[in-house]
Amino acid sequence: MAASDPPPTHATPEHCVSCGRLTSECPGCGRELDPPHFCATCGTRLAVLVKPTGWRGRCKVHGEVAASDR
Amino acid sequence: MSLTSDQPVALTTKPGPARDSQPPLDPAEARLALRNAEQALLDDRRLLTADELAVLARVPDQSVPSLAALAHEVRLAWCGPEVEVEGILSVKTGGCPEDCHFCSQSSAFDTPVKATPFLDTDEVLAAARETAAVGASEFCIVLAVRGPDERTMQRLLDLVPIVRDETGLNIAVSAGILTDEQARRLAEGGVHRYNHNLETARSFFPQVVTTHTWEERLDTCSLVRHYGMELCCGALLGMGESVDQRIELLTQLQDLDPTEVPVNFLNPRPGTPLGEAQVTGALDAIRWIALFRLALPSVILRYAGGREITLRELQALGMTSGINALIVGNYLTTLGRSPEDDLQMLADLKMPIGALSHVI
Repeated sequence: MAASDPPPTHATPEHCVSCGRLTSECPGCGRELDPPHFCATCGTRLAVLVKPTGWRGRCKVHGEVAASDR
Repeated sequence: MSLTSDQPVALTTKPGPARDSQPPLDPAEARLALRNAEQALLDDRRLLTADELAVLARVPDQSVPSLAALAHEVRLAWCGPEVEVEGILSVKTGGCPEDCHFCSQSSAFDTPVKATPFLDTDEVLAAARETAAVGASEFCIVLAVRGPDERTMQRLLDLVPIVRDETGLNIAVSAGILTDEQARRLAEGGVHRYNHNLETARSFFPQVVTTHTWEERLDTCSLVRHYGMELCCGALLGMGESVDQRIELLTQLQDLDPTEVPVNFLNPRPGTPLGEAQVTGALDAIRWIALFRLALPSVILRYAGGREITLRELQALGMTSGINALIVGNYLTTLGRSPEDDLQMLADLKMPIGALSHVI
């Protein structure tokens, strides 16, 4: 490794919000009109509250990670 | 081993369009069938028989707009112009012990839906207030359970009057199979309407649910009516049932005489046995909305789950095919289109919003 290269990082992998797999392993399985069900940061299953006028997804590790007012 | 064309395929995993045992009518036969239905429903004001419905189910695709127009006329004659708007909320999600093959909340299947406990009263109230703000008159509290245990009963009996009094909404509940005593207590506790769907015909039900019977559902529906709650009893189309079985369901609903019939179209849920099923075609959906209205002229016929993916741009056409109620906004675990879009659709169609009750 050259001295000018950035230090190796352990960046948080991106996860598919529909199945929780690494995005590099998921061909894109999201379906129309589905809220996210997995945390994009850690792939943990979200507790999703769907209301008539909005929704939100809460990860036990990262808190509220997704929401919409519709 | 490779698949070959003569291998048996489980019916419930990949249903396509409803199988019909007979060919379509020719145009002259279709016109006659429509005239006969018009005579029965608008002049004689009588219900159609199973045989008459079976004939109407066979009108060719090009006659579906005429079928829809008759259904709209029947709806106006029997129910009036008002449209009832409702919001629904899953207050206890997932972890259901039943194995309804269409449902992402069953613990029998590995689906993305995470089980969550009964919501706080404040969360339910907030959702109800938001629902009232978009013009709804009905709010349905839904639980993913086989039936309510005593703790759930107490929560419901506490919650219903609070939400009703705070919002002015009529409160409906959907909490599965009820005992006689539970039905009485919910009625006495102020539940305006109770939802318990038959989902499909008795003859097809065992192919989509094995943990309880169609008859158990019917028993709960009867209890709801017995104790004076309005009965909301709907259908889910597109699970592989045949045309004949859809007619069978319509006659079973005629016998049950519910106040409201929500019409759902299967939205295949990942991880369920029906997760890869084919979505009902838009014109087929319009045909069956119209047939539901012609079979059940006085009911509140509600647009429910699956309409967005089934009808797409034809959702307004459903409103002129017999529908006179809709679920606004999102569903239990999936999203709907925006309430603003639905309200604009109703305004464009000059359909007034109002609370409805069963027309006798």
